[in-house]
Amino acid sequence: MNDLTAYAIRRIFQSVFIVLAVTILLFAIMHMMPGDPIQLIDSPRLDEATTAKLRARWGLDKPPVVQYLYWLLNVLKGDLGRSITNGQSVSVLLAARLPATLHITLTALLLQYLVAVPLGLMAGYHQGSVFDRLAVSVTSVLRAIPYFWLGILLIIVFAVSFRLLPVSGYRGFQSLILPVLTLTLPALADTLRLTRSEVLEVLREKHVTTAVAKGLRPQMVLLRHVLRNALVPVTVMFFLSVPWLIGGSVIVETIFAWPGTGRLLWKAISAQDYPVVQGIILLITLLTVISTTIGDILTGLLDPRIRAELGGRVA
Amino acid sequence: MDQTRRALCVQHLDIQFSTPHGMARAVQEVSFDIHAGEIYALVGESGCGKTSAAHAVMGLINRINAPGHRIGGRVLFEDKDLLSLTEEEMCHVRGRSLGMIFQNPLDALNPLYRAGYQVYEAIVLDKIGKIEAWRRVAELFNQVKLSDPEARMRSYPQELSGGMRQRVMIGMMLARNPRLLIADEPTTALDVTIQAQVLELILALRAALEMSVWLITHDFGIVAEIADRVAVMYAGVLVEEADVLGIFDNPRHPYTRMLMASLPRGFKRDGRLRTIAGLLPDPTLEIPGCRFRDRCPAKIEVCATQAPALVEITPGHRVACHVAATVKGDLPP
Ligand SMILES: Nc1ncnc2c1ncn2[C@@H]1O[C@H](COP(=O)(O)OP(=O)(O)OP(=O)(O)O)[C@@H](O)[C@H]1O
Ligand SMILES: [Mg+2]
Repeated sequence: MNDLTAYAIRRIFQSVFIVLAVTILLFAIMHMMPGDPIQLIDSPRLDEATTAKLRARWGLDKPPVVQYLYWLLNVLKGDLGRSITNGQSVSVLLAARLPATLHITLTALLLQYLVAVPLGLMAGYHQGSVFDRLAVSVTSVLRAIPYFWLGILLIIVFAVSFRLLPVSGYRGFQSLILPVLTLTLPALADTLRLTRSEVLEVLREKHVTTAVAKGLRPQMVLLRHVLRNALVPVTVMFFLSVPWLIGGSVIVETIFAWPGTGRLLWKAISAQDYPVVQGIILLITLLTVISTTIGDILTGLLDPRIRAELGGRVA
Repeated sequence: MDQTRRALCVQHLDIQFSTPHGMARAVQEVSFDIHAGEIYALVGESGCGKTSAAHAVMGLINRINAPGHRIGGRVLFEDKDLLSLTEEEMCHVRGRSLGMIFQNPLDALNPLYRAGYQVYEAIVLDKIGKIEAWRRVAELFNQVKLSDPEARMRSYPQELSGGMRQRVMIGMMLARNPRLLIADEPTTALDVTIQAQVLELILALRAALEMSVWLITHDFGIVAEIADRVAVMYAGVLVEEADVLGIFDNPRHPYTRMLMASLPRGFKRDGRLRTIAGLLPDPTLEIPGCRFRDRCPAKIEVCATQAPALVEITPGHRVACHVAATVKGDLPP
């Protein structure tokens, strides 16, 4: 346990540096993009003097390093700047939009794990059965479908043809179903397949035969010795899949007019609204780094072999 | 041996595995009894079907590890035919009255659970209280002579040496006082000094717990040391069975004789079977006549057409060989 704590602390420090590196990179990329938002304001009243004044007001005339340091300091104080398009505070904007995004991503993640793991276990245990073959073929299709395509397909089927569910918007439980399905189905298919193949692998390991030989019932063998072992890589992959899900949520929120950070990011990019884009990407980076850090620490927690290895490396 | 009680009675055991080249007969019409309290050794070179036979008896061959397999015959144990029991019924036999130690202890324990817990898990199947069960784990770890049992209980398998893991396995399988212990090459993966200790342990426990042991090995040194009776298996069939003196003093089957001849004089622990010329026949082929014919120095005409039956030539000594069954006294070398 001590080894693991040391590793966890080290891993968290590492994460902080990763986040810092990403902020620098992010800042650099934004500044290498051609054009600035002032040029986008296509107004006849905008003469040289006004442009310069506006640039100065937004700090766009300072050297990039200074702009970065200012920005970073403010970020640490919780101030992510103001939107260039409407002057609103970015933190306030994000705080308003984040719940909607968390709503669909967390639901999608929960579904992904709770549905895919039992189904994957069943498919692996009953390899070759009708259920298994169905699971394999359905997941193959789902994994290959891009989000936008799946989203539009679901809209056409459930919202347009059968009029069962709303096309878009954020109104109650019903409006949650299609975006969550769009977001979760590909990831669910991946998790199911991973669980299935891990289960198949563990089932062939000798210690499973030992568990049977000592008199454990099949269900106990399956839960304690097959699923438990298969869950190590599945859980880790689950946390590593969070970034993909966040990426997917940008597309899904745009399709379903979901008032979350994903759609906000889309709009901000189109409007070259630097502060908003930076704020959101920073948020995404944080979520990604946090989830992968949890994933890494969890591997050690779940598997004593990895724990021992980590201990060796720390020492 | 006289008409002692039988601990296990295997009748016409037949095992076929599905392979890409067709069905392979790993075990053919094998019949033998293990008497109560004895150590019965099954000897034969690698791939002759020893492990398959033991796994079939334990009900460990299933659609997952051997899709498309077929098992025939009967295995009588405590008045039941194990081969006709349901999986549910089999769960009451496995571990409780029938224990098994596996060929390779290195990956026979789950790497994610502590050694003590894996033994504990078996003990609590008998509806024993938690505290009592843990006490029993400690007692077993002591009994199998694991040094510092308390610490070993908390160790993960990968923190234990091969010998320690084999002791944990033995403890686990003895946890519920089985009537019969199947030990599949319990010492093959261990180094020589540990081998001796593990064998002594099995001997001592057999005496203390009054159980029978079915010992699978390809080491004649071990056989000479601890077995009461011996069966020799070749390519899925039993070719000879006798008490340990009979096998060493008067081996009748040419295969057994070749195995004996290949042993160094005065062997002790290094009594591994030397490879003898030739290969095991392809198990997917239907072979008329004797399966050992191709490698046999004493073969006669009838060997090509008729498979020899396992017949009793002297009391307690069975041989499956046309030549050995007819020739009395000394056999040609
Ligand atoms: N699950 C399986 N599927 C297909 N063939 C198998 C399976 N298990 C065993 N066999 C085959 O059955 C034959 C007997 O194997 P078995 O493991 O019983 O031999 P063994 O006498 O225990 O050998 P060893 O001394 O190497 O342990 C071999 O030809 C092997 O390839
Ligand atoms: Mg074997």
